[in-house]
Amino acid sequence: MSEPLDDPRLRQGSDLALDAEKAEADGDATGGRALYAQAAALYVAAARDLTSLPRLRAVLAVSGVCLAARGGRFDRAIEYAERFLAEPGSLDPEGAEELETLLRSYRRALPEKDPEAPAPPKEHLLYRSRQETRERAGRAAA
Amino acid sequence: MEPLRIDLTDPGPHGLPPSKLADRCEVAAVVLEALHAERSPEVDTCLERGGGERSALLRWRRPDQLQRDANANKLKASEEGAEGVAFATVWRSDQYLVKMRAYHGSGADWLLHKVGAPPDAVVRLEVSGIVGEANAKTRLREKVQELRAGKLRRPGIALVVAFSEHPVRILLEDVP
Repeated sequence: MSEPLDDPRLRQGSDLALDAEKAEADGDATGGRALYAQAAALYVAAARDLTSLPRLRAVLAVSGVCLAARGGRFDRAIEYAERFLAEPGSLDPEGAEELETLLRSYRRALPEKDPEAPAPPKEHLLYRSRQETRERAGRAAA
Repeated sequence: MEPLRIDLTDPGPHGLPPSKLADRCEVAAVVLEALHAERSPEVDTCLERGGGERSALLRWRRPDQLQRDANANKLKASEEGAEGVAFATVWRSDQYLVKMRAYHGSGADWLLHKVGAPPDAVVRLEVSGIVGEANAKTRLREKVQELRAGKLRRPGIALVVAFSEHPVRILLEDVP
């Protein structure tokens, strides 16, 4: 039986996370965010398929959720965290607590929803709009 | 006791994409070649761990000019090169394999797994490299502190490579 940490999705996810860091360091924030989001999806998929080993599952789940947020996809980070937390006992208590903390933090990062307003496209996240504002300000200053 | 052979040309069967692993080792080779050219491609090394010392030999593949030019940023090279040395060291000393990049906030750079350990026994790795006069022990204390402050409560290894010294010093501390 292959070891859970040998899941090729983790290797690929690490690869993408490293590429994302490099893209960020090279000034390509948009490219970096996209790569983080892809890495997140791979970590989360590996965690979901790991039906035993709650301690390890929690490490992979938290990794995936954090990467999604680092990619500016707080909507996905929240969705991932909620799905893991909806399966009681699938994570160790420490990991579940960590996910709860992240969930609260990411919910605060998203704009308040107006119940009358139509659902915004998923790309229109607070993080992205802030980032774009910063980028615009940077261009204007230059 | 035989010196520990830390070989950057054979750093271990880590779970990293081969190109990324080779890249870290190549950067380490560039730093070592620049600082220890007269001893290339092998330099005496001292592995300091838990109050004890063990002699080691650190071996690398001589870099070409293109590789030297690509890694001219000394600070970046010392950090990335230290990772290459760390990967080879934890493999040779403890049979730890790098399995994945650690998440931001975990207190570590990498997650390791020891050959034969239970499948969920993940160990964190936090690495730093020094070129020049910076105090390696101070840097090691900082890395230990980062591990302790991290949200992921798993054992960890802090490792600092002092590239400029001869013998090269590798300071390693286990954080329970």
